Amino acid sequence: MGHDVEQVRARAIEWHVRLRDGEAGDWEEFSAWLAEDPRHGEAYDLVEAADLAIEPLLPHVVFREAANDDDIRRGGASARRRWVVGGSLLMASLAAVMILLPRFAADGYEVRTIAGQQRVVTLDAQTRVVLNGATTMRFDRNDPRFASLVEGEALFHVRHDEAHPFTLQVGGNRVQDVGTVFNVVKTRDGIRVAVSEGKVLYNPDAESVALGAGQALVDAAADSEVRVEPVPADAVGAWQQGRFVYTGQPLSQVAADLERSLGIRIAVDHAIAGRAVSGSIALDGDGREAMQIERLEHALDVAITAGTDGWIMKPAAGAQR
Amino acid sequence: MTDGGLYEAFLGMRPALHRYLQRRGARDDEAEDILQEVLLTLSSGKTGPVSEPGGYLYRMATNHFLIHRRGAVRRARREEDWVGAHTGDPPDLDEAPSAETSLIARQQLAILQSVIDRLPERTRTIFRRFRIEGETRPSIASDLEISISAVEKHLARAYEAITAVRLRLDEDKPLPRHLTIGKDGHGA
Repeated sequence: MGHDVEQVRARAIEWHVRLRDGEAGDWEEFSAWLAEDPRHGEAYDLVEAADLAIEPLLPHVVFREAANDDDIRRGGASARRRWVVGGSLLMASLAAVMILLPRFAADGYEVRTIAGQQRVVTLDAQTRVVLNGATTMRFDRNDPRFASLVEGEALFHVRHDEAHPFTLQVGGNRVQDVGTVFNVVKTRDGIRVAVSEGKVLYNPDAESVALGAGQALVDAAADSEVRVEPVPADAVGAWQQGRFVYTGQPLSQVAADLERSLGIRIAVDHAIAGRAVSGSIALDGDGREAMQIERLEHALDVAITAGTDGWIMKPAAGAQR
Repeated sequence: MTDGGLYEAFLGMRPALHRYLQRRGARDDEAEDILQEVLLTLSSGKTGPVSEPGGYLYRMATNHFLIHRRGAVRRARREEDWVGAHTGDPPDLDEAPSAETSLIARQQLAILQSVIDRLPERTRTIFRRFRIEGETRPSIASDLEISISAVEKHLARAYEAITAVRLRLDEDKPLPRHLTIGKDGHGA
């Protein structure tokens, strides 16, 4: 029995070494080995935990080796990074909890994110929708070429099919793709559609406004006409990377974008709500509120106070105007 | 699209990754959550160029799985602390005071240092190159002019020593096999 345990542990160690730079085939074999016996997984957990536990200690360990070993300490820190490939990046999306509500009868379903979270919905192999925070969408199981944006923001990567165009319903409006990556926001103030690749038609059966890459359409609730304006194509959907690019949009829109991504309520003093913002804002994975506030105050030239119910943006102290 | 085939590779491998996560101890819905996080990361385009998508996706799924499990352990400990406070059982403190933590870290470092010091020199060099410098087995093997399996034997020896000592340190806190723990009472 004891012999058996030792053999399983030896195998677990072999796997751990092999998988460090293993290929898909190695992992599949490993997965099959785990399935053979629950003790295999237990043994592997222990080896893996031991290796993770020494991670913070390793930088302090002294490796006594012969002096003629020419490559001692070569490139230590950067290489070590590889071990946790993607680890810290992944933390950022970790908080994501989504709510999947089987709300309507047979075929429709609703997907909802809360502020600060994102979620991907896959409609087919080349069509996917990334929901930003505080967003509600509806889909149809029987029709993967249809989606409805009830509220919030989403980025669409759509496979173009002449015979079955992809149609997005936004309130009473329709956006139809002509092969494409586009971003749509719906708030109480109106609708914004921005195209990064390909082309879309806005309300193909009514005014039928064609938008190409690098163009955005604003359908403001307070305005009867839609407006088309230029937008940097690579800025479309940049929120997925925590990046926001503005070319003269009002501060109130900036606040709404940040609200969705940070998951914090942000109110804007009406004296500056209409102020035009140009430039780009990057949110990094650093969730510390004080740091975010400080960076945003600089970027937007405002004063931000954190209250119990969220943030308030006010004119910067000592502002000339 | 900018993900260099990773996204398509993911869709093809999804069932296999799901099975793998369950075999690692994830519940069905937990495996789904983990895959959703992988998908989200892929879709954000934050991944660099990848030479072998399959291995990369398995590693990514494993990282997410470990992050999940760490969260589950912490939650369970908090629950136990709460229960302990109300039943008189000694609480299992996760976060010790910092002085104590650094003392433990120093002790652990001393133990690890002695384990490394006791390894044969060649084993120590190979372990360092593999684990610290991140070199691959084939590159170490060709550089030292030995076979890959010889490199693997050295690494196995090093990990045997580290795992053995770790077992001793950790006897009082075994890792749970499943992500969700602490639901079936707190056995004395």
